[in-house]
Amino acid sequence: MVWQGAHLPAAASVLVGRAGNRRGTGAEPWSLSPSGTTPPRTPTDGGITMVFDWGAPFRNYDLLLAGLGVTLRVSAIAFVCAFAIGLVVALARRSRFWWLRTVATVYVEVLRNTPVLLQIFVVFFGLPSVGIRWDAITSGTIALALNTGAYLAEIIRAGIQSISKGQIEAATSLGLSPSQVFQRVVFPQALRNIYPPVVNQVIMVEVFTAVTLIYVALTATSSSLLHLLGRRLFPTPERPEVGL
Amino acid sequence: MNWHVVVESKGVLLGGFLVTLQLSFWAILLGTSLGLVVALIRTTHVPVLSQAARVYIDIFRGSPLLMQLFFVYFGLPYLGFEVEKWLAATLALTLYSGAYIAEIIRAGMEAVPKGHREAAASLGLSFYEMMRYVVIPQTITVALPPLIGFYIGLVKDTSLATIIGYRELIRESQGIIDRTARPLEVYAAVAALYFIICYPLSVWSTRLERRSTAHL
Repeated sequence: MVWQGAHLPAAASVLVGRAGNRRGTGAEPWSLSPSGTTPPRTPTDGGITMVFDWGAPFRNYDLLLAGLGVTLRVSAIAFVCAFAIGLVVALARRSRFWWLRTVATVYVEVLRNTPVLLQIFVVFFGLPSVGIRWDAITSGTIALALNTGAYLAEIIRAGIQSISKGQIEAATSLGLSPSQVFQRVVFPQALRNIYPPVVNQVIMVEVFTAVTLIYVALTATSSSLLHLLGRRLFPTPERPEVGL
Repeated sequence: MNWHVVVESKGVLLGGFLVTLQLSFWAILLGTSLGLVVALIRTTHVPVLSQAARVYIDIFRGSPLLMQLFFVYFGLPYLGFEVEKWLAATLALTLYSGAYIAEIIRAGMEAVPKGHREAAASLGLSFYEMMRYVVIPQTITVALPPLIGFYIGLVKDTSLATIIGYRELIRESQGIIDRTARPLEVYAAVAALYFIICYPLSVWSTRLERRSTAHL
């Protein structure tokens, strides 16, 4: 088994499904190892016997940690934006104006009933055709925030509805303005009620971030992480081995 | 906007749509069967099996579906199993949904009061009869709304099979886009197709939920 520099782009294109050959190119994501130390492999007739090389993740731990950092950053930003979107949309769905309610309902139903992968594609591949262009990570974060926002809107709406009408009436009769009623009576209690589903949603964001990053970051071949990994694993005179 | 592109390639899109439907159907059917079995094992506390069921549920609920797909498609060949794309997609989605569905069904079973089981036992019903006539009918009423909610998610998650190169709706649409360079129109059509499957399900789920909480 010869470890060739050409195999990293092959790995990337297998992930996006362009290249057909997934065996024999050495495109096994878990058997990455520094150049020179070819992991032991025992080819047998008709199939490949796999030998796990658990050292690989440890030798490249800094790259994995950098990836974890990106995941955490993307999911944190996406979640904060999603919560803001969710709150605004939840309020819009309870608005007096029918057009605002319609827009909010359409947003929630469309985003909840189509795959998040498709939404990522629309932002990353679709929007550039109308002149809106973001880099891979930004598009991923935006798509994720929009998707989670729709789910959070429903959760927040349910939380607001769970507050009994008597409390709102009591607060109003005590002379609180509608915005005060919302800020001081309804919202704090709603937040407490929706805590479990919101935490669930945080986990979903985390998991979706994996999808987003693998898809979008690998599709964008300029991903610096891949370049660094490629340089480290397959140093050539033009691409000397570097640290992170 | 140039909708001509979509009309022109409607055959390819519909083909992908059918593949997505088929994959969803098998994932739902097999995942539900697996989930039911695992939930039964979990609730009956068979010594080793129920721990194994728990480990299975924790692993598959605690890791991204994408990684599971990768393990099945890229990993199994190294253990000596050649898997086709459709098989890898179906297998990964079944294992993934089995774990979630097992938890949904278990929650539904535990919502059936213990007294009902005791009453069934004292009436002389066998374990099978108790499950068939007492526990499962009540479980279905409780578990159906979240189950349908999960099915909606599963239909959308079949889109991830595109990553291993399975030619379902999204992959077919990528091909059309590569050829025509009209992403927004094609994506809008694809979104509409997913919406057609998912929206009726989500309306149904909401209605069931309202009905099951109406008497409370």
